[in-house]
Amino acid sequence: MSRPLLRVEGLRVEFNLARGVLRAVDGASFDVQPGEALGIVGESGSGKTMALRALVGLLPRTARIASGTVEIDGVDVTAAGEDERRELRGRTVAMIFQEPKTALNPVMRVGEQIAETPLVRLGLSRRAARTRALDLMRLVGIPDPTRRVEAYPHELSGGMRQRVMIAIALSADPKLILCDEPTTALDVTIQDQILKLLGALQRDLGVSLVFVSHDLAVIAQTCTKVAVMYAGQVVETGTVDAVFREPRHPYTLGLLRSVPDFDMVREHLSSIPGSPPDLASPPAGCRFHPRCPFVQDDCRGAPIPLIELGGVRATRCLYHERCAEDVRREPVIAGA
Amino acid sequence: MPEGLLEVDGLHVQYELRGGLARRVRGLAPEVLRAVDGVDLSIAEGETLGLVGESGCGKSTLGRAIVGLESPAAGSVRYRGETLGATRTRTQRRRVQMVFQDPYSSLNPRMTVRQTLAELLRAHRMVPPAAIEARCRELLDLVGLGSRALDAHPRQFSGGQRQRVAIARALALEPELLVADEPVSALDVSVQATVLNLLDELREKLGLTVLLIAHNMAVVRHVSDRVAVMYLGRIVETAPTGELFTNPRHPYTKGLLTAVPRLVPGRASVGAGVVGDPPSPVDPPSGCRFHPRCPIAQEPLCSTEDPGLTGRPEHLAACHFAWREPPPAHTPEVLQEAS
Ligand SMILES: Nc1ncnc2c1ncn2[C@@H]1O[C@H](COP(=O)(O)OP(=O)(O)O)[C@@H](O)[C@H]1O
Ligand SMILES: Nc1ncnc2c1ncn2[C@@H]1O[C@H](COP(=O)(O)OP(=O)(O)O)[C@@H](O)[C@H]1O
Ligand code: SF4
Ligand SMILES: [Mg+2]
Ligand SMILES: [Mg+2]
Repeated sequence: MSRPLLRVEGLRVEFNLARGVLRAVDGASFDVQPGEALGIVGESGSGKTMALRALVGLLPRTARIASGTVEIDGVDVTAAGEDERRELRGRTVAMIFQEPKTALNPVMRVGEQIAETPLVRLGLSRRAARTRALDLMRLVGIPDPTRRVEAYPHELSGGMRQRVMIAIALSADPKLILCDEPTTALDVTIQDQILKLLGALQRDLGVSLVFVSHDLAVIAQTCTKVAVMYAGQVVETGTVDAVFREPRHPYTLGLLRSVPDFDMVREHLSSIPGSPPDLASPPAGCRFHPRCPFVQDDCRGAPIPLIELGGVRATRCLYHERCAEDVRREPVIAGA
Repeated sequence: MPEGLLEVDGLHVQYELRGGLARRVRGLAPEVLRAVDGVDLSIAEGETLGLVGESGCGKSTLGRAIVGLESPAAGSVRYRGETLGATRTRTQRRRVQMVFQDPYSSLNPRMTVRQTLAELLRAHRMVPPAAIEARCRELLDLVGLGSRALDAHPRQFSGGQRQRVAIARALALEPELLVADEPVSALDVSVQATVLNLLDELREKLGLTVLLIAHNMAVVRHVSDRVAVMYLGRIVETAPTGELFTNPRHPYTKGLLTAVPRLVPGRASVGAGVVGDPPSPVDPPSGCRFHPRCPIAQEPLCSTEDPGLTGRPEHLAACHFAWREPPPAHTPEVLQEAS
């Protein structure tokens, strides 16, 4: 394997709250090879956004990286100064958010926002930057770019605004784009358009993606590799194919069984009993143990390490074999 | 088809846009947004009808008009053959209840669950005063919450529990028809299933009829008996669930189904989905409203003639080519102006 474009090892993100330390991300490890798309999936509050933001030093002021390494294109980001990080954010890495409305400047024409990086960072002339903006708008499928270049964000639909965000993200030719729920606020039709666009960019430009979503199906369609997060921890990793067909963590298994599968209608949907823990005082041992159908005594003791299962597969469950048996008994997704 | 429990006929609901007064002063007609623009729909007793479509197509407005929260500009809503007007009797109101997407804002934060339920039971004289307490417990039991929940305030519940409280509140009035507007969209994935299962259980136990408004096609496929697809204020296709998903006749329905992300890795949609954005309901396209986004639209037919719903009563679709060989696909109009 070539050197990963992104390598994250034991990442911890902590909030200092009045009631104590809240570990929003607790020992996350994953990597992304050049041209690869990694999905990070989990329910709300599981730490996906904080993990993603930590990669580029965009954490809330009350949060900090407590430990761990983040290496982007060979550069140790956690050791880098703010200047170096900003440089990285401007060039190598770009980020796309769920609500482009809040990420865009409301009083600036979208064309100028797309042209900003080429103008300021890449030192293009005004004319060249405008041409570049128009090219990018065409690339991301914004119809009638010569007219839309003059528009303000509020004059565009949600889907068009997200395309503008993607154009801005692409404007410095990044190697890696971090996407935080980029289609969650959009209709399924528009989501499909945006996912196809991101897929095409990855294929044609060779950019790598880290794609955060709570929607398993969205991850299944956009990513080749996945990290499942629960209560601040990565509990399972592997290729999307392997994890979705044969989950090896009871949380992944429960999640897959509780979402309606478009291709396989079930009489009764199963669900995961209980709710995720408060991250300020997570359960001892396996954090999922209070909700787990396979729980044994040793699940309640010492923290469970990530257990390597070969290749890129790993699980934070001592009884992952039980998942395998369960899947053999009844497939989790259609056509598995 | 026999008369359904609920019959919606030629229903129109319009919103006057801001600036309407200024226009009127200048002698102009106020601009109106036709949120529901000629809907015919029938819901049979005991069925779950799924209503789907992109946001802004008028699903919630239609739902609100059915429960009497919007007064129609034209058309009628009939319930067991009886016309429900804008002002409804207490009994008429009681029979059709609504559950909203956001359980956080639909419950009074200052009232305990007991206060909320008891007040309703009292106001509508659902049970004798002495039986109110017992009925409150029964209702919570019905939605799978223990009676400990009676003394709690909405903020003390998780999202899923709060949606259960909202459902209990709707059930307090012993409705026959429940309009559930995106009841699980605000909930976490693992919790959605429990609320969906609950709705299904209640339907069996209480013989409820359910109009389920949803945008998640997989959810609709799992819980509906029949599906109605809405586009820009109109119903463009209705069919039994199995048939709609395997044999859609309207190009919009086909695109909508293609756009659904699938759990099976790599079963990515290769088709085009639906291109472009929905047009404004203030100034909808002429002819077939879908024609600017339609890959098989034929000119001048589709931009001049409204296809209207045709087909068998069980399966209706509003497309000129719904029931004959469709013309070959081409680049839709919305993308043509791009180049
Ligand atoms: N501004 C904040 N202050 C305190 N805690 C926070 C803040 N933002 C997030 N958290 C905590 O961090 C955890 C992870 O949050 P986040 O990464 O946003 O989750 P996700 O993106 O998976 O929904 C949450 O459960 C929450 O407890
Ligand atoms: N109170 C209102 N005033 C003005 N326009 C409204 C109002 N409620 C809804 N609309 C408009 O009516 C159309 C249909 O809205 P809605 O019924 O909420 O659609 P859906 O539920 O399918 O998303 C949209 O264009 C929306 O902006
Ligand atoms: S009537 Fe014409 S434009 Fe409308 S859906 Fe059918 S083919 Fe497309
Ligand atoms: Mg998030
Ligand atoms: Mg709505």
